[in-house]
Amino acid sequence: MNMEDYKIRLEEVSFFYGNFQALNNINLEIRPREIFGLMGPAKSGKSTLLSVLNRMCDLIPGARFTGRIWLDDEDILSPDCDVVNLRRRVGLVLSKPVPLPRSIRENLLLAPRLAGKKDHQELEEMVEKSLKAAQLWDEVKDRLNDSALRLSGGQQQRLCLARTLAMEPEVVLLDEPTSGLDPISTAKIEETLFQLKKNYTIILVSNNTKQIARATDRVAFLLMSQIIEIGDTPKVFTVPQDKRTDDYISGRFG
Amino acid sequence: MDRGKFVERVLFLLALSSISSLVIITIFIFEEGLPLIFHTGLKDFIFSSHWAPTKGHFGIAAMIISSILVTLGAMVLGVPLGLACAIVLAEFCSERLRGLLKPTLELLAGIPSVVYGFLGVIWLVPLIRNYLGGPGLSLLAAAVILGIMILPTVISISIDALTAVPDVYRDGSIALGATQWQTVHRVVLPAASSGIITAVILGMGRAVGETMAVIMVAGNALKIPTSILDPVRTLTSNIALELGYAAGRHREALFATGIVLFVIIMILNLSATLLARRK
Repeated sequence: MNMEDYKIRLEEVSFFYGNFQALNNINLEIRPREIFGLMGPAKSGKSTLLSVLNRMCDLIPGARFTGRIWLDDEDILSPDCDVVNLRRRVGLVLSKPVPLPRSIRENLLLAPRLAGKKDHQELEEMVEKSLKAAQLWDEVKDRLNDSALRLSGGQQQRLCLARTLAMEPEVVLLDEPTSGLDPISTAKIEETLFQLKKNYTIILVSNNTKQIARATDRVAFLLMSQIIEIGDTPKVFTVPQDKRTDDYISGRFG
Repeated sequence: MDRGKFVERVLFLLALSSISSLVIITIFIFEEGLPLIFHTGLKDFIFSSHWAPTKGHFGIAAMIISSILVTLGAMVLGVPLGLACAIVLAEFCSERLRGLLKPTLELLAGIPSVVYGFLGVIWLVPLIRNYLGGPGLSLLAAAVILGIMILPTVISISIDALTAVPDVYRDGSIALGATQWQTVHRVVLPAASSGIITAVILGMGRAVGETMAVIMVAGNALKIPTSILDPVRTLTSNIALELGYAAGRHREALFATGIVLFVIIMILNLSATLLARRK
């Protein structure tokens, strides 16, 4: 397998919460610098899949997994994996993006400081760079010391994206990044994703099939913990191979 | 009048009576104590350390200093211990273990203070006398006993403050590449800080007001201590020790001491309430 072919590769990944199987034998390859979409009805395993990719799933009591996940050439499910370092490489923007009750600047400085960065100049540049990447800079540049909780919902969502970018990850995982946002904020976030694609590999989970169709390059459809179909987004949305995919994207169930 | 209205009135009267007892106590202490403060002058009363009530000298500075030192000592010992305990229980324990340990620690608050004093006299005082010198009955002994006595207050309120921090803050921090300890130290503790400060202040109030255990282990000598091994007499001890035989001006002076204590505790509780509300 050539290194350039994939950024992340899942081999026979299964995941259990206690007795409930949340992922069933998932095989998947994510290419470098693509936006990969995960869609499916509620409880189909989308968010679980994201949480396995940076081992946030470890926080859940009773969770266990089998299989292998390669990030470049490192197996991140192996017991030797340094999960803290993994989470710095694979940034997750949570589905409920809640900034810390501190200033905008402090929110952005958290991750670099956790990684041990101290240089003042470098940190200030990081604030500006990550806010620009999340398309938030122009709106907040004059009030970086204001509380992050005073921002609007869409701005908070982009701030959480920015604070993930501030740790300079290689892969960005987004769980429902536009749930509860108005169409204008949603468009801004999607525009942001297109810009980020130049430098990052992005995995986007969404309940909104229209958003998946607009924003992603390739897509996987999950149903009841299994992958039903994987393919280029335009193709999956025009000529789905499986009837269940067709039913889902045309809104007949789910 | 129907039954519901009647019950409502009775409950209202009962509630009113408990509040009025606070008002009555306040009025009583001030009425009994204020004449002496006017007589001696507030400055002499608080800043003179000459306490000879039978000869007309009413200066409580030595006791104020002793009370402050004993309280500070209790804080130095009790706060780090209590806070560490709260962090372990709230952040690093399974829910089941916490459910078992927290009520157990709260039982500490139910032990009568005379029992703490008794244990202090039996174990702690001889230990200090034999290994550190001095009479044993000392500032240090009082601080240690009070440090243990404030633990349940500090731990219980700190745990409540820590568990009130939303889990999304923790998850967000872990997702940003923080270890569990970094999450506690950089995210959870700052977010819980006002609650933790409230816990410390309420612990302080308890330490300032405690009387029985302190009388038993502090030695009760009337002077400004020069070492932690010196015996001390706190404001509360002085009232309890002398009220039995005090009369006239002397009695008034003890009530005036009560006013000073009352004001200190009111300030502590008020700042705890204000801090808790700020959140």
